[in-house]
Amino acid sequence: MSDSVLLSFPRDSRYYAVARLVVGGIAAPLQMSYDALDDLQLAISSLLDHEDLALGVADEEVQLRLTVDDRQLSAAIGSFASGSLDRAFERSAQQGGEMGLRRLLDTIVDEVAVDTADGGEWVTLTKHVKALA
Amino acid sequence: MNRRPEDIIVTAGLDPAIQQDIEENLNEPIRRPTADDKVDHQLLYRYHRDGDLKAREQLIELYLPLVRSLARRYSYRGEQLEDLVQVGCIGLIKAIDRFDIERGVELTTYATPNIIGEIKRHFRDKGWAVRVPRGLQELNVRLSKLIEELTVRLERSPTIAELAKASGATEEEVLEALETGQAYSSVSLSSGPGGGDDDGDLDPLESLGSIEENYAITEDRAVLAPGFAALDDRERFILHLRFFEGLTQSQIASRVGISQMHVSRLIRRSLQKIKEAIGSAE
Repeated sequence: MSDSVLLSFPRDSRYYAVARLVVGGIAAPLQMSYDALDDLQLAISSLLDHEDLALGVADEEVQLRLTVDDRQLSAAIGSFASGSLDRAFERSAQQGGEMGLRRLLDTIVDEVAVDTADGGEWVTLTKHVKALA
Repeated sequence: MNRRPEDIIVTAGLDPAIQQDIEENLNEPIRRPTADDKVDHQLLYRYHRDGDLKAREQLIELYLPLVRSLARRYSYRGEQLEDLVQVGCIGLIKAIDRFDIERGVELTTYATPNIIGEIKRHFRDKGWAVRVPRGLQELNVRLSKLIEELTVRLERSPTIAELAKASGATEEEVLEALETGQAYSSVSLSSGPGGGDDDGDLDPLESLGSIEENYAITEDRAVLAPGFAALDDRERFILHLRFFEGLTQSQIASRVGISQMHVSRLIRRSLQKIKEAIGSAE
C-alpha cells in the first residue's frame, strides 16, 4: 500500500526549501539514509532550478506529488509544458556535455521517468529505501 | 623557540577595533617578531621583486595554519570550518599580494586583519548569523560531525532518526538544521567574497595548486565538459568522483578528507557555478 502527499507551490526559489523539508519529513520515517535523502533533494532542486523547464500553460504553480511505500519514495514534479523536458535534457546535454541534467538525475536517483498526464509532462524521481545493515 | 604562524598572532599596530577583537574574542597569544620572519621577508622579496610564484605559494602554505586558527574561532557561528578556511585564504592571498615590503611591518600583522576581515565580510554577505537561529546553526555543526562519526561506526550513511537520537534533537529539528546548510548558497570562492569579480585579482585557489595536486584528474570527459572551467581542482575532482565514478557522498568525503556535509555543499555549489558559467557564456 502506498500513500501520497501533494504539495503545490510557486515556481520561486524561496519555496524550494519548503519542498525539500517536506521530502525530508516523508523520507525520515522510511529510515532513508542521509545520503539518499540528500541526493533526492538535490535532484528535485536541480529540476526546479532548471530555467529551460517551463511550466505548462495552465500551471501557475509547481506540483510535487510524493508517493511513498515501505520500499521507495517517488517524487513526481510537474506539470511542464509539452516537449519541454526533452528540450531541456537535450539543451542541457549540449551545454553541459557529460554533465547535463539528465545525467545528473540518472546518477543521483534510482529511477527517472518522464510521463505525460493532464496535458503536461511530469518527471518522476524514485529513490529506493535500502534495508539497514 | 621559534613559533610558527599557527600559534602566533601579532596585534601590535593593528586597528584598535581589530586588535580588541583578536585579544578579547580570539584570545590568542601575542608575540614579537622572530627569526622566522626573516624567511617570510625573503619569500616576500622573491615574490614581489622577482615575481617568483613559488615563493608566493610557500608563503600561502606557511600561513595556512594561521588562517585555519582564525577560521576555527569563527566556525561556531554555524559555518563549515573548511568554507571559512578557504574564505580566509582569500584574505591571506590578498594580504600577500598587496603587502608593501618597504613598510617594515610583519606579514602576520598585515595578514591577520585581512583574513578576519574576509571572514567577517563572508558572514555579512551571506547574512547567515542573522537569518539562522543560533540553535540551528549549532545543531548543523553538530550534525556534520555526527554524520561522520555514525558513517564510520555504522559503515553506512545514518538515517534521520539515528541523527536525531545521537544529537538529542527531534527529527524535525534535524531536518530543519540540515536544510539551513543546504539553503545557504556558498559564495564562489574563486570570485571573491562578494560573489563577483574582484578587481582582476588572481584566482586564490589557483594559487594552491601544490596543495591540491591530489585532486588532479587527467583528460577526463568531465574536465572537458563546458562549464567545468569555472570550477577549481577540488570541485572538478569531487564532481568527477560523484558523477563519473559513482561514489557516494560519504565515500567521497572519506577519499577527499572533508565532511560529508561539506561534500554535499560543494556538489551543489559546483553545479551552480557550472550553470552560471554556461549561462554567462551564452
